[in-house]
Amino acid sequence: MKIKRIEIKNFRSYVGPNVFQINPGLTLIIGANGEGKTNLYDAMEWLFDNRARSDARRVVAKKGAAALAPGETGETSVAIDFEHDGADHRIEKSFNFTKSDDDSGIDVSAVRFTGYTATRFGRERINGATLLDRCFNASIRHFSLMAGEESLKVLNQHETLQYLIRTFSAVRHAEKYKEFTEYAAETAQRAAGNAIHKNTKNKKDSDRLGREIEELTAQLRQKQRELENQQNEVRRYGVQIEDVVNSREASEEMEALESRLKSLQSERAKCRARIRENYTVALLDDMFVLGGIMPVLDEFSQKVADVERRRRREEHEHISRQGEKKMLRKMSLELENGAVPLPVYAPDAKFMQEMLDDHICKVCGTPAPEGSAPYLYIREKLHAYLQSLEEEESQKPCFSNTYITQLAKRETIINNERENLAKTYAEIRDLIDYNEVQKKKLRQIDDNIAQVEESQLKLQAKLPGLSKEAILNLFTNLTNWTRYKSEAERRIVELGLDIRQLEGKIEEKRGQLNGLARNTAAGIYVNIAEVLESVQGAFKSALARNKADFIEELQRVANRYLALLNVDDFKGTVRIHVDVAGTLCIQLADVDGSVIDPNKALETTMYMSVLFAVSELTEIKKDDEYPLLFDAPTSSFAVGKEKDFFRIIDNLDKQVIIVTKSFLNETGPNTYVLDYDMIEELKIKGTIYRIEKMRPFDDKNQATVQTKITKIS
Amino acid sequence: MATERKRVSKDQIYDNWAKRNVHFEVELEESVIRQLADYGSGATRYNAARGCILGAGYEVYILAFFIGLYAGVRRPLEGETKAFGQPVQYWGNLESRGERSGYPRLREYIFAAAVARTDFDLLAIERGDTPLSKGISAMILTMDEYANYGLHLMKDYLEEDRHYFSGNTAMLNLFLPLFEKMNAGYVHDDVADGDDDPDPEPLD
Repeated sequence: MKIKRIEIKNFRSYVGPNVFQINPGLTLIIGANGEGKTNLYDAMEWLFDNRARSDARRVVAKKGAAALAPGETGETSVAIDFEHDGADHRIEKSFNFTKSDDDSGIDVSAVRFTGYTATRFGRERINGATLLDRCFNASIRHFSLMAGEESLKVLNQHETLQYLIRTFSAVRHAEKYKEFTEYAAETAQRAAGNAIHKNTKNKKDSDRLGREIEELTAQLRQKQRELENQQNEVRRYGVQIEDVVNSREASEEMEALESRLKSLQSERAKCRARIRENYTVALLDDMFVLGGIMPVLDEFSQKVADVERRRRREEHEHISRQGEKKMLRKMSLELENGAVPLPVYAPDAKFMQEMLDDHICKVCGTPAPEGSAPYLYIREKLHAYLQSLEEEESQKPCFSNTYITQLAKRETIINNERENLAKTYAEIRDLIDYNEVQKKKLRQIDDNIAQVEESQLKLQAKLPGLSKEAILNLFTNLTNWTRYKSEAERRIVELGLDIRQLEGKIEEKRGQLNGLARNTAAGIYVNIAEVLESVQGAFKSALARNKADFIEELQRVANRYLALLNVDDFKGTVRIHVDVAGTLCIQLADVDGSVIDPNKALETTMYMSVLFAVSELTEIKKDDEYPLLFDAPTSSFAVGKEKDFFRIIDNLDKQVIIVTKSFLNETGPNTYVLDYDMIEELKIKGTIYRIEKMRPFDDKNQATVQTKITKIS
Repeated sequence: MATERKRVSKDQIYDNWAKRNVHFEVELEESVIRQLADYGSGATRYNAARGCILGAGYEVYILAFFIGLYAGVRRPLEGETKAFGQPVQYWGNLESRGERSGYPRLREYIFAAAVARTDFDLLAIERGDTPLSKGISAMILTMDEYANYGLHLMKDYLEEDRHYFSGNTAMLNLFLPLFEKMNAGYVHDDVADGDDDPDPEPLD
């Protein structure tokens, strides 16, 4: 397949009809960022994707749609004219878009996919998808459209390499013979077995050997199936590990961010817990409401002290008054010689009254006529006695309650708490200050958390399709997958040994079985089966040899390109390696055979070299020619390496279309001019197009953006 | 004599005071107390279901009392009045208060403040010339009037903005200038070297 012409109409920034004439060799399409490179690549991808039917609205040129009057219809189409197998063909994908009557949007029609083939009877119209698959196989398309350097890694997929080998080595021509020889050998073995079985002479032995072979064969099949499963597992884990390894840096970063986030969140929780801002409740529960109580307590103390003092004074006065009365009474009963008088109640009132009535002291016998000194003494004593009885009855305490004492006790207790209470107001201020500090800290933590989360989002954006959890799980998965892969690889080695042993045993038993047939009618069947087995073996080894030769040839040519693309630079050696699981992979090896982990530019040149080698081998075999379309394949290249790259491509007898921002010099912000000196220096033979945005345009309105195409050479 | 001593020891002035209920103007029940406390819902535990910042209604009363006390303003109750269901002796007890802490000791200081600011003849009561109940009533009246001033102040703020006290700092901001006023020039032996802060600023 050789593309001659690309037509793009009303596809994104390609407004109206746009045509690229495509060179059989190199076609360079040069444009800066945002000028239509990726839209061109996407147009080709859209055309070559025979599944896509639903994204029509997404690709309509907004400027084209904006130019329509309400109800008017336009057409979006992408088409290629190409040559294949000596005939001219065209495939075209298109749909109509109609502006709604109220100018509110557009309606799109179903997508048409049409193919045209030139025949001797004229141009025949056929299904576009069918024609595409016939001339440009889906598997080839898989690695002929490369968007960016990362996409080149498709070459390192086992299936891609297997496809290349099957397609471009002689293996595919021998496949049918190999299948036939397997069938023939198997049939002959079965015929020989039947013939031996019919021979009654050795029936017992042949039955036994037949059963043994059958059992061993069943075991062999089981081991082979398991081997195949384990090989698939190893490949699967290999791909998964490769994906993870590519994201290792991001995952590590995400893990570090997550760890920081958790620590910040924990710090935030602690900080929040430390903030005690429920001041209203604290006024009561922490008795902050007592922040102004001290002067009031002073008043209380003063009041209690005053009243308590007054109480004591009053009580004292009361007691004093009582005491004076007693003293007077005592003095009136004093004896002349100073002797202590009898108690006031002795003798009692009845006897004293009797003595007064009888005018005699019945204690000492002294006569006591009325008016005499003894008479008066007895009468005074009786009077004192009666008065004491009266006083006893009438005497009450000064205070009947003890409330003031109670208050005084309370005052003493409260007084003991003064020291703590006096600190309350300071505690409140301290708490407020502390909370402010914590809140400030919390704001800082919140800012840090927001920063970490933003970094995580940015990191996530670098790995589209992967959630944060998935990125964090990558390393856990890597550990598991690596272990599973190692286990499967170990099992593959064990199975290989088991299979070889079983094959040996089967061969031995079959030899014994065939020995039974010697000199019998079954002998001829055995001889035929042995011959066919030899033929099958020969095909098998020839195929393996052919495959190995192809890989070797691919390596040789790839290394030639690698040398060209890395002049005066370290490059190593391209090695197409078959691992224990039978997986093919492209590696760079050092001189001692160890695998090199290449930098990005070296890795890209490694894949490019293999791609060019495949292309060259294809050309040699004149088989399945196909174009290569690269979008920005040299992003990581230094200028010198980039020049080598374009020079080689230009001299390659291979159709290559490259969209690139190379060959541009920046003269101002978003202003570029073509580097004609570089084009001149490289002496590019191919066709060169410059694509750029038509000016002026509104940087906020996509409907004003249009790509302009200029053919440079 | 022994019987007499027992009777007197039971007759504690504090207990007589603590058994009393305090009062508020009925019109403040809806406009202030129910706005700030879970008053009247039948629940005794702290309940934030209605967005109230306080639990029992008496908690609003206590805060209002201290506002009046520190401001030094008594406002006689007018119109219909009402008593809280819980006498003073139950204020601030820990039971059934969920995440809150008890503050029973606060009662002691309210008592001391009520004694300090009530103009009554303690000696007459001590002599038995005036019944204790009269003195206790005077103390309760003192409390009610201080609280009434505080409740009306809260009412003024709530009329401006019914969510005024839902912030953490609004209530404290009422107290901070009062604390400052009360502590101005007050030097306690143990804290003389303490707070050198300038005037407190209201919290945002």
